[in-house]
Amino acid sequence: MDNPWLLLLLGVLVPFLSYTLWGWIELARLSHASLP
Amino acid sequence: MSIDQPTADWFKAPHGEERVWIGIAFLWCMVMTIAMPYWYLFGKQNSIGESYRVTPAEFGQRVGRFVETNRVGEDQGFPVVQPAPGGDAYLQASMWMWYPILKLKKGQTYRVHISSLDLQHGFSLQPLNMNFQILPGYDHVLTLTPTSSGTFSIVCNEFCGIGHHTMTGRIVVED
Repeated sequence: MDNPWLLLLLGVLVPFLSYTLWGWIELARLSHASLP
Repeated sequence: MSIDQPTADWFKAPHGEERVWIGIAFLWCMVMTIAMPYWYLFGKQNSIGESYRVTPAEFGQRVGRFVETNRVGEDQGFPVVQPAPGGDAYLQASMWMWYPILKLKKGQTYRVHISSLDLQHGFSLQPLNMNFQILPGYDHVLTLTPTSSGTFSIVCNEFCGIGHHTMTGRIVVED
């Protein structure tokens, strides 16, 4: 964990997975409104 | 290389008061982490963020049909609409109004569908702590059970243009 390049990778990858990718997946899984 | 690694023996393990501070902060992080799912499961009337895709045109049409079939009156030019208890209610946000006025019954559960016809608005029910972002293209569903009667104001709390400060609505709850 002393490697600054590893830290940079983790600093980008972890938020990307937990926020951006998670959000994309949630949006893709949204179904169309039935408006009952 | 512009980034240097620290020397190999840089780490000094925390001790004494530093351990206490780190321990307290860590414990509190754990409390807050557990509090999030706990409040979702055991808290009262927490929205799970139930949403569906919809076009503004579709939603606007559905609101129109809802108003036609459930209209019970009018107030200052806005239709007052009473949905069936246990049923679905529709509320649309647009620059710069909330349409229609909903009349609900205390203790009855409703599925309130809210969407925007144009841009992002904020649904804020006063004086309660209920605040939701309302986006065009999404049907946001709130499963709502009024627990007190009265007239509750809706204000838009997401800046939406020059008339934003006038964008108010109402939900009336009867006993």
